[in-house]
Amino acid sequence: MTDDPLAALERELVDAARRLAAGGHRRSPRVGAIVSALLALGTLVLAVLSIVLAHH
Amino acid sequence: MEGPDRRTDGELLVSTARDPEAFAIFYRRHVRAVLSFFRRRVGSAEVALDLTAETFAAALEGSRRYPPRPEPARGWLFGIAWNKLHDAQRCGRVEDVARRALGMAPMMLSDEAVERLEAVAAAGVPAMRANGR
Repeated sequence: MTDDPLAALERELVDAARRLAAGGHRRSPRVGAIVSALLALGTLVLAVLSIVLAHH
Repeated sequence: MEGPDRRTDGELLVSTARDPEAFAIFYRRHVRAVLSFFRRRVGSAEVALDLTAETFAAALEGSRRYPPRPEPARGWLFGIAWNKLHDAQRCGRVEDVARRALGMAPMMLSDEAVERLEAVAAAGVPAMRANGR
């Protein structure tokens, strides 16, 4: 619980700005999971295609 | 004692990537005006604060792509605020995309905090200062 929400928000924003300055953009965990899943799916499709093409 | 920072809003936004404190100055200049803007348009101080937080989080993310331009950055900030308001009205809830992307924690408000927000929002928008904002 905070009694001074505008000051609390300022602290959150400055902390976030420090993280950005230190390590670049911070991607959300959900976006990271989606990107990883898409990459894994792409790899699987390529592997299947390679096998199919190798047998023709 | 240090006087007020004389950098324009645009200069503060461009500086944010290497000087996080610059964004705090930008925030302090405009947070009351943004909060009042939302409070006049939504039903509660909590929702107005939520929208304010999302607006500044999006501004922080956008500051990395902010090009120096002659127009005041205040217009850019309120453009973000209008978009957040329209999104919230369309979806029936306040998005937290920018805050989650930045890893910002959600805020829990005490009754005293809500009263304080109402007072700040009711105080309205301070007069704009004349240093290119």
